[in-house]
Amino acid sequence: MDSLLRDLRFSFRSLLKRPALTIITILTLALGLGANLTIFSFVDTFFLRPLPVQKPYQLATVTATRNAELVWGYAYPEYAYFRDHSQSFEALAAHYSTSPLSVVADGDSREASGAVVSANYFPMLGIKPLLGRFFLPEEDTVPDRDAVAVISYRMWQDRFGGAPSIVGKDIRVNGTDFKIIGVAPEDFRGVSAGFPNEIWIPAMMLRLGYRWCDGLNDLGCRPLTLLGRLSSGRTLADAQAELNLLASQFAASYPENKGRGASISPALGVRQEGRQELSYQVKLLMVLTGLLLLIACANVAGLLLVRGTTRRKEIVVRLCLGAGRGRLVRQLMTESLLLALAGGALGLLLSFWAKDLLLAFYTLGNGTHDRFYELSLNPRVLAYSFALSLLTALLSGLMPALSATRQNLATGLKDDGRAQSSRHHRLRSALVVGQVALSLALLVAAGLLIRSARQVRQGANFDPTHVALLRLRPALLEYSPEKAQTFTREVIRRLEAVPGVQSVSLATGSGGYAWLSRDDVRVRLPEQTGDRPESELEVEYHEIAPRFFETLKMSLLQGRDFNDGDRPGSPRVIIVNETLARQMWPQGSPLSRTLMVNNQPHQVVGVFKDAQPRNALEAPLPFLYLAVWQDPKQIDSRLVVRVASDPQAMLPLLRREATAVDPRVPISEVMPLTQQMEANYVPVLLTSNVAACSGVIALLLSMIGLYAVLSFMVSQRTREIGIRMALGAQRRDVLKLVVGQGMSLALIGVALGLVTAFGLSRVLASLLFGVSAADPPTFALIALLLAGVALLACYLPARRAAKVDPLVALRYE
Amino acid sequence: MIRLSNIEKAFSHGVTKTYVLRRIDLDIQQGEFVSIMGPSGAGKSTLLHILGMHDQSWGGEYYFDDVAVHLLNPRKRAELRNRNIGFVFQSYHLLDDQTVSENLELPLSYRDVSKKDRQSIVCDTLDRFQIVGKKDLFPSQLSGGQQQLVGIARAVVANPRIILADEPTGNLHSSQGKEIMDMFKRLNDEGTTIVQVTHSETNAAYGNRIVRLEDGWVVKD
Repeated sequence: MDSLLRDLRFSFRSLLKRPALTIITILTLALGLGANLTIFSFVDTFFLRPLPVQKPYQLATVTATRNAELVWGYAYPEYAYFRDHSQSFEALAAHYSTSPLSVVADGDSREASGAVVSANYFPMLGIKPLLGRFFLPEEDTVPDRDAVAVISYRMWQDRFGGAPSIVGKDIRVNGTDFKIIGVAPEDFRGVSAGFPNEIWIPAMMLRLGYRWCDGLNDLGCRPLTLLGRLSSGRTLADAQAELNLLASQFAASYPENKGRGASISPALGVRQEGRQELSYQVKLLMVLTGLLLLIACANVAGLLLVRGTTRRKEIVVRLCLGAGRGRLVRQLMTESLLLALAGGALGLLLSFWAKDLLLAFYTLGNGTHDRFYELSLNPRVLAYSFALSLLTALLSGLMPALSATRQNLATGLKDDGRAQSSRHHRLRSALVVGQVALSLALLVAAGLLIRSARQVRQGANFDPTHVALLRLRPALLEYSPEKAQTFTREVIRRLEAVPGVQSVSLATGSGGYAWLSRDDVRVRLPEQTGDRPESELEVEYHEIAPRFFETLKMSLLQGRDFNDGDRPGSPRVIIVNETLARQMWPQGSPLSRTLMVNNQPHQVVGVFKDAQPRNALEAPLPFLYLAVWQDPKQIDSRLVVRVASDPQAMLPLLRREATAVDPRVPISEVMPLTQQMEANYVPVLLTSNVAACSGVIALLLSMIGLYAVLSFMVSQRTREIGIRMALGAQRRDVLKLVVGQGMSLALIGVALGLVTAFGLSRVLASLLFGVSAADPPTFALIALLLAGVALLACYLPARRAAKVDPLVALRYE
Repeated sequence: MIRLSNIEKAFSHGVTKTYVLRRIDLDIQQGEFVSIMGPSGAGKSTLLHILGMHDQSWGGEYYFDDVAVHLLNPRKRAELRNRNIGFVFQSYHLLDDQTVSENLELPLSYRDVSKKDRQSIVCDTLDRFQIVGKKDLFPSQLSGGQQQLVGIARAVVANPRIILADEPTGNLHSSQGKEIMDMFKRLNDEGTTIVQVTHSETNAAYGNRIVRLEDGWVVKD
């Protein structure tokens, strides 16, 4: 203990003695550690953070499986069977936490993020209402009877001004009168991380909250997620075994449930189905910031090697006085540890700022669901900071410590350090090469991602700028299709009359977006028989109105756009993209040909350019457009409005016009199209930003590393440079010598970096839109940029070397 | 060959000035073997470095083959030096990480001699100094005398007309010193002008002229 304190005391003194080096080292480590801690705060939120409820580690998420594969959700009868028979769970609740609800209060109609939950949901979580009460068991026993709602603190504040009289107030939810019975605590936003709820209604009102099928009775309708509190002494494995048994018992009575089961996991982080995508993203970000930390460690190791050389005499004296090598290594490692801990603390501060920047990407809404993630500091983040600082101390400090203490005592006290510096020089050179290589890899990744981000913002063969969006949801008011069509046409007519509006159209955007869809139809040629599904093609489709292509500025290759003549009763028409046209009719024009779409004949009236953005791994996909007005079922829509000026500025006016037709119809996704596109490409935009920041920092660090090594080399070689000048070397010869040495390191680094970048870009391929993973211009440009900056980093010490006065250098005599 | 007129060098310390050399007038003819002698601090090495055009900050006039060195810019001075002057140092100043032949090649590389010619000249020089067997050795593998021999070989490799030697035997024992001085004598006999700084009367005796300095003044020539 005493020697540890002595080590600490000496380390403090030693670090304070060289304040400039200490500050540079701490800043370098802080940048590397800060980036990693920022990403870890997201890892924590996505995968490790428990719910803000009582004894959260007792909670477990039950995910449905079929034949051991994870599948989506449970039907209510299945849930009720588990709830009533399970012994492993003290309580088992069901919830559907992504229910868009139209809430009309005091004449104001807005869409809210709702949750349909079983009555035992709140008691199981162990939370108390801020005002009023939660659901009573009897309010969750009869379907569609008890229209009671609990609202969030945020809704209470934002929509009701925090009025104390809120309990008992009537509101209208999806066209039905509800009574507010309570307000949830301020820090409770539901159980689905990333999807904060504003209003909760009982599970028996599921048919109101989930309209696609009858989740209360239909076993094939499975919107519910289960969350349970384990009974005392029961484990996740116990619960899983039991629920699988219950599932097979249930399936014995309901054969359609054969093969279904349950997978139990701790209720931490985000929902199971979001984990895979987030996990890929976060791993990628961890790789990028991990590379940055490696560069920072290499940089610091280089600085510590320099310091080790300047402290050589001190170390030799200590060894001569009897210090063991292990003892000295420990002493030097203590200094590294202090530096890393200081860097870690500063990095943690930096991460507070940086995580807010990144959070902006994760909370980019597409307008359907608000996003919220809790990223506050917690013991896990602190523990991770500490552990990462320890690792950093080891990575950056061990090699310099071992190297500094490897001394020849016989010569150590006599020579001037040059003999050692050649050995150290090789190490330092290797570190610089490594830094340059990793920096280049990061910069190439950043370059590719930035190009990709630009591509997705620009759109692929369409122009998303100057386009505003509005989503009309008459279906939430139970409009009939005919009434909804009349309503929507009237909205379009009014919007077209607004000054500055150039064209208006609509799409159903069944995938959640106005400009693309992720739903499939089956297509085949009429001559192919429909009884062989394998001969049919699954093709993504989009239902659109006339002028959709004009509004998005998509290129018509052949034929015509939809028009008002394409209505119910007229021959069904489709427009195909060039890939589908090529695939179905390799020879000749597809116009006027017939294609069977879900076994219905459709005539091709137009061919458009491929406009689905695809990443570097995907080939262009076949795609077709259906005429929305020919589909009498379709009642919700996403309007696209091309305007002459800034769409953001036009939004209030457009919304007002749409609301004027029927103020009760909820309108959402009121935003510029570019914003919704950004929300769809969050992984690309986020990763490109992180890569760009990491790349710039890496470039800076590696150039500092190169500069430091060359500066040190120049200082060590003053005598040699003097001799060379005395022997006839001129300024340019010395410049060439130093720059040549630096640039040879940089170029080796560039060569290795290109190979590393090639590997890294393969990992990024799924995020690369409109740019190849081996894009030669990006690789060449970044290599040139890095070589250019390296030249500058070499020039400064070289210029100093060229100013060496041979007389001073030779004054050793 | 060399004419110095009223050469002065001083260091300023605030308002005061310390003179290292005072009003030096010196003529050195082609083929002379001059020894500059004097006590420590007399200004011998400083004078040698002015002659060698390493030192740029001095006053007075310096003519080399009637070229006014004092009027030349540093680049022109360097060209003149590279064409005419070779250096031998007391501490040899061989580059530690270069072999003997690489050390010899160094001055040639600064004189834009082609690679092929460099190799040929280095071979001739190694042969002339009988150090062919040492060509691939590093300086640390040579004795002091051998290192200084390489130092002289390096000084003459570019075929200078004058060799400036600063205490060339200062770090050698007497038998090694004698070999080196014999080598200088032989070079002088072949026509190379030699200017050496030395404390040794024996070494000075190899030459045909002694210039004595004291406190920066030439006291005897």
